[in-house]
Amino acid sequence: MGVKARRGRADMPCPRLEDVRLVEEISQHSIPASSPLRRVLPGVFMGSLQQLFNWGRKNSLWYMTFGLACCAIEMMATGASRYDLDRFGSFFRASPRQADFMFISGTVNEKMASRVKLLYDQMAEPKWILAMGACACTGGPFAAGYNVVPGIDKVIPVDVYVPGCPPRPEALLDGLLRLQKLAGIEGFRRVPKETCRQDRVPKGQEGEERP
Amino acid sequence: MRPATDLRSARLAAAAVLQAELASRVPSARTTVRPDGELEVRVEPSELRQAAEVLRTAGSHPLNYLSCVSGVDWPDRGVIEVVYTLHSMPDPSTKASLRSEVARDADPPVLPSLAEVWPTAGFQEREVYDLLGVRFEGHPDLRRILLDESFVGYPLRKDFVDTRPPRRRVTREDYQP
Amino acid sequence: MTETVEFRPLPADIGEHELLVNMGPSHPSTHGVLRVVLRVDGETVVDALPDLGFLHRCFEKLAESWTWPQVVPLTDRLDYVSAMTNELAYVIAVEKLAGIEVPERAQVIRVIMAELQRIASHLVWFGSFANDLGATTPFLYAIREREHILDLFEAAAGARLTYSYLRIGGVRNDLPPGFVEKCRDFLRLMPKRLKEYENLLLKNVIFVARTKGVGRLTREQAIAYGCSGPVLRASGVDFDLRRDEPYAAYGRFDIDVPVGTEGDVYDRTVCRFEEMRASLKIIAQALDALEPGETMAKVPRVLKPPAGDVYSRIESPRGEVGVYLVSTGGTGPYRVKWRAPSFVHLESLPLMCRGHYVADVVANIGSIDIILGEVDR
Repeated sequence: MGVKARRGRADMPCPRLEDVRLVEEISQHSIPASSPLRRVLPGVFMGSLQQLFNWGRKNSLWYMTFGLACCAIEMMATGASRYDLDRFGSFFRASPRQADFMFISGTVNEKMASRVKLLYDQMAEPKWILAMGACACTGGPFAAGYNVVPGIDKVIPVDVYVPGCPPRPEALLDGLLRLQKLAGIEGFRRVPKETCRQDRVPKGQEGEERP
Repeated sequence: MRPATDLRSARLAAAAVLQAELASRVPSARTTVRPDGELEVRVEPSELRQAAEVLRTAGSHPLNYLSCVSGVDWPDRGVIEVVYTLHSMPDPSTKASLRSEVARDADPPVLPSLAEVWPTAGFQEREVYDLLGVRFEGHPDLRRILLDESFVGYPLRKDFVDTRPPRRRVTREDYQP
Repeated sequence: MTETVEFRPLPADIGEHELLVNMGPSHPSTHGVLRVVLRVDGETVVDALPDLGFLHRCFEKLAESWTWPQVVPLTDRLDYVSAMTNELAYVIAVEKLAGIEVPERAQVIRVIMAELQRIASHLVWFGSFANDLGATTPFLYAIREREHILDLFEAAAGARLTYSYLRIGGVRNDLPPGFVEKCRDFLRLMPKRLKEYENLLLKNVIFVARTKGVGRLTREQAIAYGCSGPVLRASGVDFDLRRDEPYAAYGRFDIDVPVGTEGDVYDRTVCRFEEMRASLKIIAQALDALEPGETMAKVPRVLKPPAGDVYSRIESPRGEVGVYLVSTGGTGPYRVKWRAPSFVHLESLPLMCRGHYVADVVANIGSIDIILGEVDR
């Protein structure tokens, strides 16, 4: 079958969870147990620089809590005493510049949507979004409101959805672990193909408002 | 500890006193005393300020505490009713609701502001303006408070229709910063 | 395309030495999405203008299209840190409107839940307030205690944060077996922990220096600006709705009401602290007063209260939560107006901040104990 280990490429599409299992199967980067070398060098791992970076990155994902509403309290509780996020390497950073991913926890409304986008744009690549709670996923109980954006994925791309109202801390930790898996298969360079808007808009449609 | 019946009888007594005072100073006010002791006062917009001053200073427990300003849209009667719920502080022996109605089709519906009588009316009247469209004359800072400045319409009106275009899901490929 | 995010409101008469500094809506110390535009002259705040609405979720409009019982879970999510008291405010208002008599056992259970919720809410406040001022440890201690309370809530209601436990006419189900014993264990544990927190924070020299004399509200200002709860009591007004306008089963219990003198941030802190102790006492009395009985009144399946309106208020951890309900005899409310104490308190924020430093703004916001869910509804 010959599935090749993915190397980072600028036009690599967003990794999917199915890809994770394949990559883990083929990235057996420790010395085989049967090898005589193991007795001499038991702790040596072999792998690519990309895998090393990914391992470091996924085990120290620093989050920017974007605590908007009720889910923010559960997120705080998950980061605090009983369910500790620090043991996963995740730590709260107030600034988007210093964060790897954002917990969008709570309802996003029209007034707030532009601010969320601004903060998302300020984050440095690689960045991920974890939509926590029913409101961030699809609008939740408030989806019919005149001022509510039905899900933060209408504004910024979301990687992990954690439903619940609010999700239990265990559910949030499960979401974080899935995010760690996604971070583990990240490519080396994931830079958007075109960063200039003029290249993006097809000819003849300049000035058209996007919803 | 204060038994409920004690509070109710104190309120009924206080309501009677206020009713008499209002009858003498604001004769056009229509007052009713509810069974639980709340004094319901209905006035025309032109008398609202005067009635407010009377209520704030009259009686043995003057109504110096404005709890809540609520706006209610009654399209079948063609009015928006604004209700000021008042209590006395610290002894809650007096409770009243000061109500005034304004035509909802007026452009714009106007009521005098009571922010000088009870300063806490500032934010609450702004909210009624924001959600129902009632302008309060004399308000120090009448702007939208909960909705964005660019929002069009008054959502809590019964005939409000949400005209936002539907949003599409954004994926990484077509995200634009 | 990115829309420009302007500074609004823009005061027109900003002086030569003055700066407009934007605080929020994404700020670690604003407890949610609050935006405050500070007009500063050097380090001194000349004016602080709150900008709200970043969490406006159309609660009042949604409630008009749902039925009476369906609004209960919606009220949970307003003041999400103390959901039980929100539900209590709403169901008491509906019961007043519909003339429903709640059974005694349900009333006592409501008191127990409301007081446990008060302690949980004050613990969250305590932790995040200390965190804002720079003391990061108390938060972890407070959450440790709060987890015990959430265990109790989970046993009774099935949820940790938004319960939908109180219903119109009573409570959804009776207390599970073992609840009373576990609650008594918690009551035995808590006083020692409160002493620990007092030593950790309230007697700390830095904390006292940052909070004494800051954000003073006089008695007249507090009443004129509609303050309630600990903010009002810290300014010297001896008023507590649980004692002076009793609801549920509060009329039967002995309630200690802490009253401050100065009206500054330190007094508000101490008021909330003592309220936690007073709540422990009320819960102990309520547990003793639990008699076997019904937990739900006979309420029609489709509830249609008679036409009319009512304003009903209760004492939440933040202050006076008022519900103005209008019914026209239908299956759902015609109008629900939620009087949120945090919304009203924000009006007095400029008063508290003027003349103080920028760092004191953080202390002032924390001392009001705002929750944006109820500010913006």
